[in-house]
Amino acid sequence: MKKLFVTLSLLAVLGGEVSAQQFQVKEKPLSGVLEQIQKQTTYRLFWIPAEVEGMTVSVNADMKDMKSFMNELLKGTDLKCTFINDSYIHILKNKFLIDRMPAFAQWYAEKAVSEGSINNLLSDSKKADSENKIYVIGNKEKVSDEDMVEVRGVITSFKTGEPMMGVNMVIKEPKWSAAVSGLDGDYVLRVPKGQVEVEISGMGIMDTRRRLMVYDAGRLDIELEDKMYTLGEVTVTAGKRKNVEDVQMGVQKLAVQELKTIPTAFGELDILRIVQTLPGVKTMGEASGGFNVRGGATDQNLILFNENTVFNPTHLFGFFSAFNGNVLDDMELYKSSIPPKYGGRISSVLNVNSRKGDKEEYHGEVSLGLLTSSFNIEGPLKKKKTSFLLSGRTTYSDWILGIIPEKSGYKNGKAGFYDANALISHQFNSRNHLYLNGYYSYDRFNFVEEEKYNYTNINASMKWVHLFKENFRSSVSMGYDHYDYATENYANENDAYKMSFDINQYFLKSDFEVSGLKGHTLNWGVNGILYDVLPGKVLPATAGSLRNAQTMQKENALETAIYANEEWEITKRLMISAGVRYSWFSALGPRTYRTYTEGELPTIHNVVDTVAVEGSKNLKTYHGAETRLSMRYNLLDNFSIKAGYNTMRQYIHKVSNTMVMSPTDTWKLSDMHIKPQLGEQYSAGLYLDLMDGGIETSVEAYYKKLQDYLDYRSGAQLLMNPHLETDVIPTEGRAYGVEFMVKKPSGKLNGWLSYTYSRTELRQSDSRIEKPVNDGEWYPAEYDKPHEVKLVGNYQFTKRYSASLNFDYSTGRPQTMPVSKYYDHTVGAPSFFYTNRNEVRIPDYMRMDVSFNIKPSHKLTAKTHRFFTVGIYNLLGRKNVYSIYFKNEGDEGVKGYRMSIFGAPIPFVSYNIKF
Amino acid sequence: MKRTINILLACFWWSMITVMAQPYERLHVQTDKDFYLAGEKMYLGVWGMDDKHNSLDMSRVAYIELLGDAYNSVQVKVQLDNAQGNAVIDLPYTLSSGVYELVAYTRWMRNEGESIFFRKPIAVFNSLRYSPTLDQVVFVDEATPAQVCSVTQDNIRVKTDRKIFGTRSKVSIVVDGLQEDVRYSLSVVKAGSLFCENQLEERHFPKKDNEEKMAELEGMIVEACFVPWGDNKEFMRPNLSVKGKNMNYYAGQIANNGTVYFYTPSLPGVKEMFAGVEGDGQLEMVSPFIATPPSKLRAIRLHKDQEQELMERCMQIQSARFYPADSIKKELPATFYNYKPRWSFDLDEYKRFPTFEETFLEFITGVSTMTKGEKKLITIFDEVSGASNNGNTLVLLDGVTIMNHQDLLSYNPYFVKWVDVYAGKYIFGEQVYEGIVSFRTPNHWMPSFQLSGNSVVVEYEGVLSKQGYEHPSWRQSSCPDLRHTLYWNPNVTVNDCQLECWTSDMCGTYIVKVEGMTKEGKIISGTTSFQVKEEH
Repeated sequence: MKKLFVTLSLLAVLGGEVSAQQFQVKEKPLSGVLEQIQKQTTYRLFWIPAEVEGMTVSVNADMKDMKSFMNELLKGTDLKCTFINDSYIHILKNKFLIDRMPAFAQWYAEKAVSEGSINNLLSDSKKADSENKIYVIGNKEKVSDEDMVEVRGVITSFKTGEPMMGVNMVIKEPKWSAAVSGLDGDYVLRVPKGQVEVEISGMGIMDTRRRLMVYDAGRLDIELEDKMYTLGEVTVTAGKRKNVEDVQMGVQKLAVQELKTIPTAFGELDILRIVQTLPGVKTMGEASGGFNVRGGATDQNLILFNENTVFNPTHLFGFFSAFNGNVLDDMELYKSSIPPKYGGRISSVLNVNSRKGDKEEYHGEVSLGLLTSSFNIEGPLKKKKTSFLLSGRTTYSDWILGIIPEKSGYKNGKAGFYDANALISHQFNSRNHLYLNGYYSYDRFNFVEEEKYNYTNINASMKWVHLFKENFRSSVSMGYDHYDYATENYANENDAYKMSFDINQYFLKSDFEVSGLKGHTLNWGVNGILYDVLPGKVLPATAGSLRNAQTMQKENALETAIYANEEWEITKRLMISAGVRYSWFSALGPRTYRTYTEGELPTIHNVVDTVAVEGSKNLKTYHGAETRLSMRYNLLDNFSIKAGYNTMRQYIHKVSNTMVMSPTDTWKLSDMHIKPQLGEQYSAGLYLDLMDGGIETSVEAYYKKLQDYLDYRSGAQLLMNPHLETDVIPTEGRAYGVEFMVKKPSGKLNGWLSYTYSRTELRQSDSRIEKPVNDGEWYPAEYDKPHEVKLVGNYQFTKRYSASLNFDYSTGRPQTMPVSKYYDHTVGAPSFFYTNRNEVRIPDYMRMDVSFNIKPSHKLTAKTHRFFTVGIYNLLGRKNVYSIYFKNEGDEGVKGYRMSIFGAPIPFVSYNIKF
Repeated sequence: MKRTINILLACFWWSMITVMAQPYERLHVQTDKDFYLAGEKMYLGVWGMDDKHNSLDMSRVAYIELLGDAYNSVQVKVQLDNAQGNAVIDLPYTLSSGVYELVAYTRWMRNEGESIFFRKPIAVFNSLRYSPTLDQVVFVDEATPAQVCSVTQDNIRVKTDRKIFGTRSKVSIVVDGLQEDVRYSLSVVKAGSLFCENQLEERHFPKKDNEEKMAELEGMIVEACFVPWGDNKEFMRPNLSVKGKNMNYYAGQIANNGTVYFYTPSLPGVKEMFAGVEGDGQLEMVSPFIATPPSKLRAIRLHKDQEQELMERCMQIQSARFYPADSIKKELPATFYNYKPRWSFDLDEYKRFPTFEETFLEFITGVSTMTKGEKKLITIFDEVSGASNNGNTLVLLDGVTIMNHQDLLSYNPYFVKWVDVYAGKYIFGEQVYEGIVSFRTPNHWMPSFQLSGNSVVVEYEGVLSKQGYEHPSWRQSSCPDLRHTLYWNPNVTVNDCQLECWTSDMCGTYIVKVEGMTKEGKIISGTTSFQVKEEH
């Protein structure tokens, strides 16, 4: 410690009586100086060490007059000193003591007595700080004669003690009275006598009250608590009015929370099955991949997963969807108003988005099901910047094939799949985000040992989202989509072969959106897809095989589109969305193709020439505009009508002789002979929200026309056919229907109920067709199911326990059936007489599933969180008919058999662990 | 497991007492001084005795009032143990100057009337303000001589180890010649010229109640009456509870005349209670003090030469507020029962839900709500009986009884940290509850909770916290120790012949005084004095 350096000099003035004590220090700690003064004088000094800590002083003054010396010493600090009885000195921060008592003021020369800081103590009145206490004002024994008396006081903050201005005080009963506190927190409130309650509110304070018992005028100082903000569960109410206020029609958006409560077979979150619970979406039957939207075929749905196109969205013949439920975030299904940024399919768009990985913490989840197990892990690669999400899923589903019926053809087969997702999201800054998406899936199955199938989906994409401004965003994405399948056949040793197909597409999309421009939202962009399809390749599978290797020529094409859309809120009630998409499709070489007689349908008999084109030359271009219009008019706040008109173009076609999606389906691009499919839809609807958005109801009607839909001749060769155009019959379709829906999106009981009446009919009206089906008249499509009732219900007992019910009824689908047997003399063999195409219907379909879900416990400190789903698929055990087939059993004649896939209740359970 | 809590009903004791010969109870109060400054501490010793001056351990609470005029009075409750009580009263800074009267009595003594109350004049001077209308001060010309140390009488010899001490140094006191069975008080107070004339004025006490008062043999008897809002005078389940982390629930007993009696322990340190009742009205507390009509303050006499002496003490009361306190007040916790809850939840460990109803439903085991008529009730499921209690639940928030369960259900659950569920049967006197749910907030202050109608907060002071004389610890030597009373012990017996105290920063003469009361009622005393001088 530094030695205190004090120069003390005694100056004795010769012959004088005055001696001065000079005190001199320089930059010394104040506490040491004060101790030194105490030692040198008779004064007792008091101070609070914390208040002088760290202070240094310099002084060079005379100690003769102690008061001026101390003032000199403490000059420049906020310390004040009080001398008492000329023996005590109190040094306090900004505080004085009373040094003379007011009662003795009469003996002081100057009458005024200095006010010490202690005076605050005298006005230290009790403050009304409790809401629950009754504050008595006035004296019970001496009640005022007036009805209203004046209560005055000061309002201060509990926390800071500062006066609070602008605080409102209101008395409502028995007589209304109010006051606002002034600048110094002071108020004057006229108060009726008796027991009253004062309601107090203001900025930044908690709304409160004070209860008074008023006898007479008086003072009441009030202390208020500052507002305490608690972070609570935020209930998002945005989107509540979406049903009524969205200009788009026929859009279904579901978040993963909603998706999770819908019971699905085997306890898996299966997006395709959930899509099938929505009105207007139909399937051919259970375990059939693909779905039909408003009369469209299965290949007319654009299925997007993080911008990537998924060609085969199913695993295991449709038992499972290609999307792993653990990585999903939300999905949107566009049935009628398809935004112009989407194109290339004429029926619907199903847009599925995955979650982004957690940027803060690592965690994962393991789920165990009866058929599949999956895991996922996610976390930051760089905190708050980059995250990853990895997910994998595999199956051990061979046993299920053992229990399905013999006739399904799947019995005793072997099947398995796995898939993997990888997602990386990176935030460069608040305006730039980059997302990388990778998906791989592999399926294999064989019904008999000799014939094996496998198929693969590969998707990869990169998306960059850039915000120019808060209301101006752009996204650019590019990627690669791939699908292939292969079969191996060893049935005949001499003819063992491997056959494969693959389709590749490379895409680039850019999309721009500006919103909030006086009710306008603009959206525009460019899309481009480069196709590379290998329609088929056959190789001998073994050395001994005599099968010739054959490779079909590749199909290349470029599809480009530009689009723009404008959403305009003309008035609060009227809103329109108008968009146009113009697309070009160019089939590119090299290719060798045939030409046929002009004006005739291509057949093998009217081949004119064979043309060979070298290089990537343009062979044939199709182009056209697509219109996307919709409008909404609000009749009431909760009631709107909407109408829409859409046209769509599709340049890629599924080559399949079944209506379901099958792994062996191949895809064909439009070319010189295969025209693009065209779709046109008119729709209108009424939308009504009841109970403040608690219940959403809607009625939508549509009429849809399809052109150049592909149907095939009987006996068509679909695989390895280099001249498929000869087996194709151009068909037109029409579909119409009404969809009624009641939805309760939230609450303890939630779900939806829908009824749809719809028809889908096809016609081969081209006069060039030799023998059109049904004589060129309309006939029902195979997925024409006029009546359909769907119910998805979920009841939350608590936030953890819920039960779900899923009910599905539909008219049986039509089928062509033999009705009689006759002896055909021209052939010389018994033959069957069939009904018109799809004239007879199989029995109606009805199924009910239930599940009980237990979500993770609310205990946050638990290390793992488990959730659990148990349920029964097809609770009623109804043997729903998938198809009817006939067998000629000799003497017993032709017998019909019903085939059902899940004819018994199937219990399922799944168990998930999150960590 | 069933637990039964029985509060001993004072009625039982009441009948026992009436069978016994009715004792006559008296109080004697010793104070460290008789002249105080407003803002000073007043040290008290209370002795309980019978009319023959024998020690009598009967009442648990002594009511002590400093009676002044209409605007100035102090009322405290002092806990009595073994016929002895001590207390420190912080005299308000706002007390007006004048001669007050200290009156002490017990609830039982009120049956005999005010003539047997202990009475003593006390002078108070307000050094911080002066108002000729409020403060009764007369300045006299003749100076009062400073107190001199008189020679010991009564054979009590008091000695200190030295005659001169420095500041902040230890003083050993030896007391000799104390009698057995006599209680003494010992004070070490700075000598001065300020004192109060021991002269009592005639005072008009209110007429005593016809109804006989029960003696407070176990603790405090809190009296209340039901104030109906309408015509329906029916009420049920009167109760008192105390805010805090412990559960303090007291069921009231309804007497024939409608008065409600709560038999509580002495509740040291409690300042507020929550009074609730089921019925169309609310409880109003009845003051346990006698409502003495105010009279005018008598004037204190001062001379201008006493200014310095008063200024010194004035400085002391100011610095008590300005300097950090060195000694920490110890308050005894008021525990009532210590039962283990069946289920306990720290809500911070769980996902939060916006309402209590949801919180119960989601994870609070055993607790749910039911609707009975228009009221929502909180119910507890008892595993043992396998049944719900139909809403017969005692609901406590920070120890406060919530009579209207809806009040709690509409309270923001984010404020609450702990929920304890007690299943089984709990009996409070005549009230039976099948289960308790106790909600506690982190600071036990139930932020922004609004009690509905018939629950009110009543300011109701419990007994003063038991507090003996405390020496400052002098952790910071630059902070003043300006004690005027260096020591106070109201409970000196023949065994306490060696005592010690510490001097303060105040120099001057100090008087050590031992005072006792003989069986004859005679005050006997012994004194000595010493000097404190600044060491340089």
